[in-house]
Amino acid sequence: MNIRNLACILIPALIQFPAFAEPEERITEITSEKLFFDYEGKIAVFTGNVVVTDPDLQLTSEKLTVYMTAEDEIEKLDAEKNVEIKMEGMHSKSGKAVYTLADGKVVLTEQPQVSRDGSILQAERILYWRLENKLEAFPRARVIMFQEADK
Amino acid sequence: MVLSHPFGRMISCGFRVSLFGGMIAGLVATGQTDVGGFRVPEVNGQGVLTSLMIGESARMYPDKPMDITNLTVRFFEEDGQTVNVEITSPGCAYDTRRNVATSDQSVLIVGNTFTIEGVGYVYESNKSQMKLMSDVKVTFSNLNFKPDPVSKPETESTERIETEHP
Repeated sequence: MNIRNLACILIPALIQFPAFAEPEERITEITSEKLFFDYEGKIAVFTGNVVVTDPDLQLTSEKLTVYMTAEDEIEKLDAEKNVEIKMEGMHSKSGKAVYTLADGKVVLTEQPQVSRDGSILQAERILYWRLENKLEAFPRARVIMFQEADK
Repeated sequence: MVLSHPFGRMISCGFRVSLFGGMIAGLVATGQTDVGGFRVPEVNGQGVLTSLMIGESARMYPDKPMDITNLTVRFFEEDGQTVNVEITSPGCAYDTRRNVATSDQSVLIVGNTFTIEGVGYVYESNKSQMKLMSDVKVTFSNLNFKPDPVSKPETESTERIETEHP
C-alpha cells in the first residue's frame, strides 16, 4: 500500500472520528447602529436595530445594555423596546427583557408573550428559567391554544 | 462560569491609559509639526513593552487636536511580545489636552476572542468611555450565554401559570 492509498483511507476516517475533528467554534455576533462603552461604569450600551445572533439564541431590540462584574464578566443583559427573543423552541415578544447569566433567568415585562408549541402565553410578567426549561407567568396569565380546523 | 469581557480586556490592557497624549505630546514643538512613520512604544516599570503605537503620519498643531493617519495601536501581554489587542483606524484627531480621540472613519479592534468594528468614534481616555457612532459589529468567539448547570443556584420550583377562563 503506497502513501497515497493510505491517505485516502486514513484522512476520511480521521475527519469522521470526533477526537480528531476540529472543535466547532461558537460565534456570537452583536450588531447595532451605535455602541457606548463605559469601563468605569462596567456597562456597554448598544442602541438602534440591535441584533444578537448566537447558536443558542437570537435577540432583537432597540436597545441592549450589557452589565459586567468587577472581574469583567458578563453579568446581565437588559434589552428594551420591541424585544424579540428566539431560543429553545420559544419565540417571545415584550417591551423589556432582562437576562441574568448566573441563574439563567429571563424576565419578560411590558406586555410580554411567549409562543411555543402552537400556544401563546401572555401575562404581566413572564419568567423563563433556561436550565430547568420552566416558564412562570403572573399575574393575569392567559394561554391561547391553537387547534387545527376540523376537516 | 467565566466570561471574560472583551471590552474590559481591551481597556484593562492599556487602552484607558492615555491613548496618544502621554506618548506623543513630547514630540510637539511650537507651531505645526509633521511626523512621518512614527512608532511610539510604552514600557512599564520593569521595562516590558506594554503598547506600541504606529502611525503613517501625525500632524501636530499648537492650538488644535493633532491629525493621525493610518493608526495602529498594539497592546501586549505581560511577556511584552504577544499582542493582546490591536486597534486600527485610517485616521483620527487627538486632543492631547483632553485626552480625547475622535474620528468619522472606521475602527477595528481585534482581540483574542473578539472583534469590534464601527464607523466614527469618540474615545475619552479620562472617563474610560468610548462611543462608536454607526455600523457597529461585535463578534465573540466561544462566548457561552447559557449558565453552567453545575454552578446554578437553587431556585424555587413553583409553577405558577394562572389560566384565564372565559
